[in-house]
Amino acid sequence: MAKKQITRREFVKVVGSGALVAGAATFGVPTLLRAANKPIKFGQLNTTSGIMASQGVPGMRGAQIAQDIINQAGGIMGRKLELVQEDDQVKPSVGVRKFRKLVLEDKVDFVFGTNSSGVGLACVPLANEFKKIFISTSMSDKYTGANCSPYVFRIGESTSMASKASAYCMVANEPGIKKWAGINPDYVFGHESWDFFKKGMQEKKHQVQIVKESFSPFGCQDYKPYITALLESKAEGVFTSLWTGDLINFIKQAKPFGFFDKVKAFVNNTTSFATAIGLGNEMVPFWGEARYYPFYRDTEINRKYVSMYQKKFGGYPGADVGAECFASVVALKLAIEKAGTTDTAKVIAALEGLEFEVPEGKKWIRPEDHSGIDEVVLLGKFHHDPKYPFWVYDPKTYFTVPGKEIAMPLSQTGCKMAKP
Amino acid sequence: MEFSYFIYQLIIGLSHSMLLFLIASGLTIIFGLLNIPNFAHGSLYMLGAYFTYYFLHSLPGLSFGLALVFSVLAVGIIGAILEFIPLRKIYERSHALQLLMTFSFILMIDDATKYFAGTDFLSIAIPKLMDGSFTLPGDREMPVYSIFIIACGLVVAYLLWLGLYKTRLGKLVQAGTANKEMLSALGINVPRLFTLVFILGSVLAGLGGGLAGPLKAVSVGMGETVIITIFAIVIVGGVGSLKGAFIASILVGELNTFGVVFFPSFAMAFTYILVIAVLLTKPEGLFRIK
Repeated sequence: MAKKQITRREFVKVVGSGALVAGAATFGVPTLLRAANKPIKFGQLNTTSGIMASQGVPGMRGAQIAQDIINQAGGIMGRKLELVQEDDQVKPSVGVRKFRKLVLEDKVDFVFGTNSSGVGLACVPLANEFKKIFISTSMSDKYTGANCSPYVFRIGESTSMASKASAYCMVANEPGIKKWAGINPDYVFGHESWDFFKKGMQEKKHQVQIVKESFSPFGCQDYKPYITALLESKAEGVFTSLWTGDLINFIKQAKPFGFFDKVKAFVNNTTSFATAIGLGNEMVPFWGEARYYPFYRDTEINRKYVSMYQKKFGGYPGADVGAECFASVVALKLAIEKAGTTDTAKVIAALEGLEFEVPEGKKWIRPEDHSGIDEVVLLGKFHHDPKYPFWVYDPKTYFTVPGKEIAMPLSQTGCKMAKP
Repeated sequence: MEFSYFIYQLIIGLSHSMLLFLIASGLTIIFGLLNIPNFAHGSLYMLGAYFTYYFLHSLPGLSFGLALVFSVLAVGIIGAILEFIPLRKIYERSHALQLLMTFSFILMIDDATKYFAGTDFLSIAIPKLMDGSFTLPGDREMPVYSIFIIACGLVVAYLLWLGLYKTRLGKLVQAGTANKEMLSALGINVPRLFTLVFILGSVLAGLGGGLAGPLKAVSVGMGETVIITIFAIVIVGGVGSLKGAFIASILVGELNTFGVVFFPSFAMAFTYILVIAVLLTKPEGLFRIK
């Protein structure tokens, strides 16, 4: 009969679950104390350099706020939470390299983050290879689709939810508009957004005529030809999934063409609020969607998040990815405590079906496909409010769809979850 | 297609071309004379936008024009520092090393910008005087600011042409671009000439950035988004050739505009098809200075 050996993982597990006395007898107290005090490491990938830095830096900040709150309250099961944050440069190749570094060199226990699904999806095979939990803060439905994995989660709204909610909102608020056009970034997210927007219109049995479909390169510098072609199509409504930097460039260049007078409705499915902050008083009255909007909910956790952000970094937490990174850290913390261990399989089980509250509201992780589902998806129409140095949603225009209603039905996701 | 629509898009394309020309002219002069592929040229362009924002917001009441002038001067000073301290030491080294150094400038300038200005997007409004449009036949709008950029591009092109062909300094630059050794053999102070030209190139990049400011989200990394196109223009036009940069800017700007409008699925390919076609048929570019 083989002698039972204690592996390091089991050792950590034993210590973690608080069987201190048994451990002390075997290994001696000093070693033990060191192990028990060893921080739990969360690795984070977001974009902090280049044109998307304005989105990634708030992502890092959101996670840091969660870290501060958790560590001030005594950490996770008595162990400190340590964040290891890496810049993915919004490049899949860099993201993959940094994912490896986080796992192999920094020996993190969990990984979360990414601003672009291009980067996040490239990391999925690594999560499977290393058997590490990876929580995505980018939006693709593919994380939870046919290639879903027991190790992979998406913390919040997906492309389909945000795009279909935008369509529902337009059907409800601008039913008279029949001629629609799209301007979307020319990569997975843009194409999926546009398809789901059209699908949302179909689901509501809303007959529309698509007069123009355009796709611009990521980081496009000159939108004028796209703008003039959209105007030439005589579209009455325009849907866009351009985000922040690109959207700001588009709006700045479209305004002098009288674009926002000629087009009756302009609707955007992502990062709208960060765009409003970036544009300041040059903003235009369009319909926007963002995964997190600081003024919608008056809850304790939201007030705390906003005030800590202001105290620590100044300004408003405008980038919605910040709240998603915050939520990822909170979800992992709760799951570890629920599981009573950092063991991957047990934390996966604890994450499945987890319900928790974060600044953007209540979240639920659907166990079957690991899709994060928010209480509601929120849209609103921007207007000028003298209380703020930027435009905000007109509260009269708030439009919400319950997350469970708009989430892709399990029969359509194509996900067959394997055992970890 | 309607003829008036064609003309309309031609003008729209030209406004993009002229912005590209402002940036590319600086790069081609530097590359031509100093023989340095300055990858940080895009960062100087970015700084032009940041300084314009900074002057507009720290000196309330300042006109856009003056903010642009101050900004261009500030970028010129930074250009002078870059040339005078590190770049000067590596003129005789390999292109690989020079590339590495100018690439490290990008990282340094990006990080410094992040440190001083933060990572939030900044927005420069179109100056009041130019915030509007003419209505053209077919109910099409032509923004005044686009016409202003075209005018700026043409004026700068003319001034550069005067400076390069009608002044002693310009002739030295031309001579140096063609044959450096001869210049120093004739007792010309070559290092000083290099510094001046690097400053001029930086000023042009800064001017491009300041003028692009009202059309873009001013942000860290905006330089990296233009630099490849700008290098493509310099290569197509012929390294060191002002005329080449001018023609190539127009070609690239118009190809992009007409590509997007009429062949949207292939629009991005046109610029690079042009680059490949030129490299295969005229490897030195359209107007290489011999």
